[in-house]
Amino acid sequence: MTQAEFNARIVAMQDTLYRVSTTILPQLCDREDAVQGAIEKAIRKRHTLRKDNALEAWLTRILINECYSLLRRRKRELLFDDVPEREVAEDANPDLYQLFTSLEETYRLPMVLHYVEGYTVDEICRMLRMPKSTLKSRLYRGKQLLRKALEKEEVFL
Amino acid sequence: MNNDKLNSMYGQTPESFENRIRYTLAKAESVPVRRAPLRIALIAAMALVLTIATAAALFSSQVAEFFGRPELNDGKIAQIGESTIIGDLTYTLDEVVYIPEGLYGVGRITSAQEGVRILSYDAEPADFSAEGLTILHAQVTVEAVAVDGGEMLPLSASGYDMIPQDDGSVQFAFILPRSIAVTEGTEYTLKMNVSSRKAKGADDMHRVDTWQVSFTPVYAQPTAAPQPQATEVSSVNGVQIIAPDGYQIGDALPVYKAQLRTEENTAFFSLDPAAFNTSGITQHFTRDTYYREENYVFSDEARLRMTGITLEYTEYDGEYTIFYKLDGQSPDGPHPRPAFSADVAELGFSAYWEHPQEQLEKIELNGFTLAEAQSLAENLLSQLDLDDYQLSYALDMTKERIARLGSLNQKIMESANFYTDKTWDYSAASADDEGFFLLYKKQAGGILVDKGDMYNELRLFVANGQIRYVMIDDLYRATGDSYLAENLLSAEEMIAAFNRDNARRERHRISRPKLHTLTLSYMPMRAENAADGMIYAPVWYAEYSFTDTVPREGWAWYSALDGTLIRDCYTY
Repeated sequence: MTQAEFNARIVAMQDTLYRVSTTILPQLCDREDAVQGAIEKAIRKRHTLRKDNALEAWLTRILINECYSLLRRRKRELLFDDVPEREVAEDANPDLYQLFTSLEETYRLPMVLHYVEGYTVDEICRMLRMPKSTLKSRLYRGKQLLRKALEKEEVFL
Repeated sequence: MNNDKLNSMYGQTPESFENRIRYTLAKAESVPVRRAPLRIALIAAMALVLTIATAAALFSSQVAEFFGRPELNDGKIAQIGESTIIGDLTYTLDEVVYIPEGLYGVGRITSAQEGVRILSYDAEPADFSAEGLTILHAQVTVEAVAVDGGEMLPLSASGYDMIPQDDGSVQFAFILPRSIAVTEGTEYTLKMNVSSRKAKGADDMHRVDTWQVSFTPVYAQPTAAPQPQATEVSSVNGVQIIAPDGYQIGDALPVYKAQLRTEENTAFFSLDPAAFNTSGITQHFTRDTYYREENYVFSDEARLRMTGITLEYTEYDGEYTIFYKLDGQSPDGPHPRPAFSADVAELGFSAYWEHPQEQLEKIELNGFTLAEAQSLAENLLSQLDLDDYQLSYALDMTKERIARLGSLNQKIMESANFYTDKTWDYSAASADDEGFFLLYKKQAGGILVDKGDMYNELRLFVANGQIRYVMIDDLYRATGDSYLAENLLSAEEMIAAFNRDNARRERHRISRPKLHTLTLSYMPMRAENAADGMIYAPVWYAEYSFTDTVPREGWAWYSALDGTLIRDCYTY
C-alpha cells in the first residue's frame, strides 16, 4: 500500500470517523482534535499494521481511544454548569439523533459500529476489547431501548 | 435496523472535519510526524481551562493541574522557571514531571510587546482577528533528551498542546512517552526547537532556534511513587521459552555497545546512486526538514530517497489519480505511480505477513538464482554498512504467485471507498516480472534484534540480475565492544515481572492477561550508567493472551537483566 493509497483510504472513511467521534464527543471541535490525533498516531505507527485490509478497523480503534482520552480530559476540566450541548449537523435528523444520544454510551457506541458502520461482531470485540457475549447483549439491549423510545415518539426506522 | 435512517441522524460530515483530515495528512507528508497536537487552540478551548481557584484546591503541581491528573503530584517534579529570549518572545519552561509513563512538561510563551496574541501554528488567526491584536505564531517542540549526562537521543514520539491565555500569551505543554530516549534518571537535558513567525499575509519572519534546559526532578514526598499491585504468579510450565539451542534462561549473555546511526556516520550518503540505477540522474534535490534528506530521480523515473537512517529505492511508471467512490468527482493527484516491480515487492511483503501458505518453491527464475539475488543484495548491504543483517525470508515471485496475490490485493482495493485510474493487471504478469523478494532481519550475536520493530528489518526485490526495490530503516548498530552479563533473571523471576504489571494492563482494559511465550531477543537501550551511551541488551519478548471468550493477543518487552518493563502493546 503506497502512502497515497494509505491517505486515500483514510479520506474515504471520513464519514465513519465523523460518526464514531460524534458518538463519543459532544463538540465538533473535540471531534476534529481527536481525529487529528488519531491520524497522526496511525501515520507514526503505520509499520505496526499487520494487514492492509484491517486499516479501517485499526484506525477506528485508535480514534475511539483518542476520543475517550479527550473526554477524560474534558470531564476533569469542566465545571458542572459548563457541560456543553451536543452539537449536531444542520441536515441531521434531530429527533432520531436526540433519541439515539439519549442511550447510554455503553449501548450507543457498539450500535453505531455495528448498525451504522457495518463492522462485524468480531471486529468490534477487537476494537472495544470486550467479550463477544458482552457485545451481543449490549447490541440486543440497545436495540430494545431504542425501539421503546422510538415507539413512544412515533418515529419509525 | 435501517442503516440509511440511522445514518440520517448524523447529517453530512462537516466540511471543517473533512478539512482537518486532509490537513493532517498533508502536514505529515511535508514534515516528519514526530509530534501530535493534543488540542488545537480554538476560542472554545478558553472556556474549558480550569480556574486557578479550583485547581489550587486539587493540585499543587502546575503539570498535574494542566493535565488534570493528580497522580502526577506523586512523580518526580522539577520546578524550573528557565527562559530564553528570541526576538520579542520569551519562552519559559516552568515545570517538568517524571513518572514511569514518561516526562510531562508545561511552560509559557510571552511577548515583550503590547497588543500581541500568540497562537500555535495550527490555530486560525481569523478566529482571533476581532480582538485587533497583532498575531504571532510560535511553538516549542522537544527534539531530543539526554539522561544523566548520556547521549542526546532523538524522540520517536511526543505530544503537544497550546492554550491561549487572556493576556495574549500562550501556555504550552508536552508529553514525552517512555522510550529508549526517555527513561528514569536523576538529571535530564531537553534539546528543544523554539520558533515563531508572523501571521499569514504579513511580511514573512520565521525564526527557529535551539534551546537546551537541564533539570533534576525530585519527589515532593519522601516515599517513592506508588507501584502497581502484584498479582498471582503463573506456573512456569505453562510458558513456552524460545531461545537459541542449548541456552537456558538465566545463563549469561553478552551486552554490546550500540552506535546510533547519524547523518555524520551513516554510509548511506556516501553511496553512489549509480549502484542502484545507471540510466542517469535527471533530478537531485534535498528537502527542507529537521534532518538531511537527499532525493534522486533517474531517467527511467526510478527514485532514490535517503536520510541518515532510511533508504528507499523504488521504480516508477507514469502517474495515477485517485477518485473517491462516494462522489467520484474529487480527483486526488496526479501522484507518481510506483512501477509494477514495486507492487510485486509489496505483494511479497504481504505474503510474509498474511499468507503463510505461500512458501519458497523455486530457487531459479529465468536463469537467475536465489543465491545470485542474495549475493547482489548483501553486496549492497555491505556497502551501506549493514553487515549485521541476515536473510530471514525469501519468496520466489513467479508470475503465478503474482497473479494469485494480486487477485487478493485487488479484492481489497475494490472494497475500499476509492479507486484509481490506472490499475495493474496481475494476471498479465510475465517471466520478465519474476524475481525474488528478500527480507533481512538485524542480529546481535546471532540472536534476532527487537522482534517486530520496523528499524530492524529491511526488504528488497531482486529480479533479472538487478535490484528493483529497496526499503531500509536502520537506527542502531551493535559494535564489537561487549561484556558478559551474568546473573540474568530466571524463568520464575521473568514471569513474576510480567505478572507484576498486570494491574497496569487492567487499567488499559486488557483483562486477565496470561503469559504464554517468552522469546529471547535484543534491543537498543541506555546503559545502566547513562553516560556510557547506548547498548544492545538481551530482552524477553513476552506474548500473552487476554479476555476469556474471544482470544486476543498482546505483547511486551522486558529487560532480561533486571525484569524492567520496556514497552507493552497497549501503548501502541
